[in-house]
Amino acid sequence: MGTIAVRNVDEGLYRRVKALASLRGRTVGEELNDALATWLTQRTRVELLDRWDAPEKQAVANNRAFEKMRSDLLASHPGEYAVFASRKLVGVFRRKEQAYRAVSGLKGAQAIVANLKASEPHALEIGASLLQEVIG
Amino acid sequence: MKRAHYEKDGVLRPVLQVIAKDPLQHSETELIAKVDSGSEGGLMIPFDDHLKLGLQRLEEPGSKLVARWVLGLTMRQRASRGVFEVGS
Repeated sequence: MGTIAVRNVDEGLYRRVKALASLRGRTVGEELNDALATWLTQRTRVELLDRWDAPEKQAVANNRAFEKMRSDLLASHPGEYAVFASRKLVGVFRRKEQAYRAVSGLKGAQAIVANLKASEPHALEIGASLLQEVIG
Repeated sequence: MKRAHYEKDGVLRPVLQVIAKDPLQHSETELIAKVDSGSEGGLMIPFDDHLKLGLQRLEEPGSKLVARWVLGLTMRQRASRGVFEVGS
């Protein structure tokens, strides 16, 4: 553990941390390490949420656009691949590679490549050991 | 492969070294995948890696895939096709 000097620390705040640390039988350094680790964890989550936001909003809009046209597309282009971006149908392609290439030239945070075939929502079974990883 | 297992709580758990790529193989990232004998279908990757590979622009319709955890909890997944290389 290193020793560092930090300027402009709020003295009142520092006194309260010192008192609380003393009550808990811990050093100020131990409490600060915990506080910094917590701050970093929360900060990471906030940044992740920021990055999640734009693709998620566009995903909702693109999925809505797809659902509106789904039955027509299933009837007119069965088995093909429809690309949705910026809330619009970009095109329908016979091969998925063509659809992927079409997406790579587009702007936007999110796009959908939908295989036009009737299918039920698929449930992915997640086992107990993976759940344990997620909840720690 | 560089790793075959990792240890948690004194239990050895199997892992695989995986190179994940977008479907057009323009970008790739290396992952250590935990093998879960109770799961089926696909590789779950962190959202960061999903973005790094650009998979958010190649997603399947959102209603198509949900994860059902033990105890009955369900969670909608963002799903995309990808290419995964396992082994050397």
